[in-house]
Amino acid sequence: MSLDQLIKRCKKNDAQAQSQLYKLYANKLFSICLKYSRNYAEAEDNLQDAYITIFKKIDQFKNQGSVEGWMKRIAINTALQRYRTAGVFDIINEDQIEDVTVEIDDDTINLDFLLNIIQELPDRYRLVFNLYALDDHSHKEIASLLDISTGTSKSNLARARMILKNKIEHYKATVNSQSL
Amino acid sequence: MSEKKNIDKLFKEQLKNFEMTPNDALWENIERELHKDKRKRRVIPIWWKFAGIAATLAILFTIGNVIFSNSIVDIINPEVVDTKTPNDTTIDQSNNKTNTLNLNTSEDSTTHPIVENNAPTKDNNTNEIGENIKQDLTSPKKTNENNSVVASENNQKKEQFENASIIKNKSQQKDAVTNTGINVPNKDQKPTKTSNTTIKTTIANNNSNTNITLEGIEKDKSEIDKLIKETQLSKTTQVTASNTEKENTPTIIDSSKVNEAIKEKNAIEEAIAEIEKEKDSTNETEVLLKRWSITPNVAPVYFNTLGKGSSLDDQLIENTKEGDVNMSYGVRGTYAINKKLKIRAGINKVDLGYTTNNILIFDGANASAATSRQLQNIQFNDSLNTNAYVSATSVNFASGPELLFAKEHGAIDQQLGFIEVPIEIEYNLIDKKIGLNLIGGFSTLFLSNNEVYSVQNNGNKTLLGEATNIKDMSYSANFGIGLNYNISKQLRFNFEPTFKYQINTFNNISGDFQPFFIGVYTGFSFKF
Repeated sequence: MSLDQLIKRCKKNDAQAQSQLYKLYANKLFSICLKYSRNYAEAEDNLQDAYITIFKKIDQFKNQGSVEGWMKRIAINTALQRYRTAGVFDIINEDQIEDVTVEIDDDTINLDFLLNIIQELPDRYRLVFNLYALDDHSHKEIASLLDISTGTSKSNLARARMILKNKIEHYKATVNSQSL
Repeated sequence: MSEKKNIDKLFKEQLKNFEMTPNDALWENIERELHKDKRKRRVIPIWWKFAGIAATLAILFTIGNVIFSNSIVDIINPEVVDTKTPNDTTIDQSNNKTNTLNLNTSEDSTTHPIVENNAPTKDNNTNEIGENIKQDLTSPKKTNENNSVVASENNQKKEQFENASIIKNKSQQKDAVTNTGINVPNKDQKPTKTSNTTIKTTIANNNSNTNITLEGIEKDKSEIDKLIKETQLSKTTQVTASNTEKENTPTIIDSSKVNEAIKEKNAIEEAIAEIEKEKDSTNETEVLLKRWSITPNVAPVYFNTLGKGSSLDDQLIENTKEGDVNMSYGVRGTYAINKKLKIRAGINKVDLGYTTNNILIFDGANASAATSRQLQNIQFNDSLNTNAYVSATSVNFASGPELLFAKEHGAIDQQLGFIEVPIEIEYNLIDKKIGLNLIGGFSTLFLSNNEVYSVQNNGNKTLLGEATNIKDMSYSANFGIGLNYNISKQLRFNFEPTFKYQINTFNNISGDFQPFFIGVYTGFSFKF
């Protein structure tokens, strides 16, 4: 069955088609949810909410652009929604710092570790870092998505990078010392 | 030494192909969440049904109420006519006039000049009405207005009076009950009468919006008296005190009638609202599905017994039996109660038969005591009466040496025909292009054919007679699984293997004979 047919059937609320569409993108969307969430459990919650939104709003999908992109946007939005409504964006209130490039040794690092340190970032840092670094959004877009200023977005990104860099370097150091 | 790299890139590249499979339970949660909505949606038609029942009851109740209160009005009306129109010509408050008044109540009460004066008293308070009337009536200006209206009414009235019509209580609307108070016994009193009655009607009009009590109207009565006096003064009509007293009595009667009229009116309005509501709900449900369908069907049916036994004779209990495969055909109608549940009934011709093997057939003349008895449940045709039929399993040479004279080793074939009237319920499990449903119900079987044959091993088949122990009417419990394929919105192909357990078919069974038949019913349903 083609993807178009699958979507058509999903629009008719066909349970079998819904299951198929779920399976088709569950892994990709779950990875997004993991990156945007604080932990595994929240990622699962977000994925569930995202899929429910997807199936409820699939009528609104007009075959413009890819389904995958559309579904990804819903997954990201679901995560944003969660932390937006949680009111966590107001917590961080600090001086803004410049947007600086942070460089790090180009080594392959354990994927779980990378995911872990992203999740450990404060909510807004994590969202900004994800949106900017991993999903190619501009500071302007991020500012409107998170309802913050572009300056704040830049500042948050810089701080996120610093935190990540420190953690990676610390991690490498411990790995090296253990291996010695 | 590794190269320095932008941390963003590092993350992006590393996480580019990162995928993770979520827990399987997650999909179940999502499905449940989606499913929950479906369940909610399904509740609506059920609610409609209850609403429909409630609406029907409400309609019946209101209609009953209307009829009931109608009869009371009918009784009262003639009374009033009798008392109020003793000798003189009865003046019917012209239909035109009352109609306009009535119209005013339903539309906007300010259109009528008199009503205009009293119209502000739309509020619920009876006292207010009284006060308003008082204000209206006591202020000289307004009385003048009233009087002018009265004058104009008089003109109308005179015209009407020429017609000298008789009261037509029944032909008029319920609200027209107020008319009864309008009967004028005396020609001289016409003008005041008119004013009085118009006031009454305006009160009635107000009443239709408010719940005025009897006392309220009685209070108003004094106001009306005042008006009468004032109109007497201003218009210089001669009205005696006795006349005004006379006037007062009808007001009281009127007030009770007015209440009844209001009741009825409300009831009618309610009924209309209910009917409209019901219309809406039925329209909506009708849109949902095509409720009726008709299905001609045909089925191979296989008859057999569950336990060891025989419908023919005790000695045949142990004999092996073979069910025949016959055909059943018929037609049934189906009504969809809702998307899940259908009720269906039909009529089928069904032939059933089975063969009891291992029978010895020999000339009855040689039969000994052990074997001479005939098969107990068969009434033989005369010509074949001499032959004896014995189960090969029940005799041996010791008990029946005459077996040597056995004509033939054979079998007995029992053939039954029924007209079957099934009433079944069909429950949809899957309702897609290909559907699956469960069927349960019962059939009433009317015996139409009853034959017993002896079958010889060489294939010769002779009619022995008919079984005596079969009831003319019997039943079966039916269970089936239906598979169907929707060819179009109107046409559906059905395939329904059905098990039918017969109940009460035989009077006198030997052993544990539990007849059943299995039919694979196929057919096309035409929906409409």
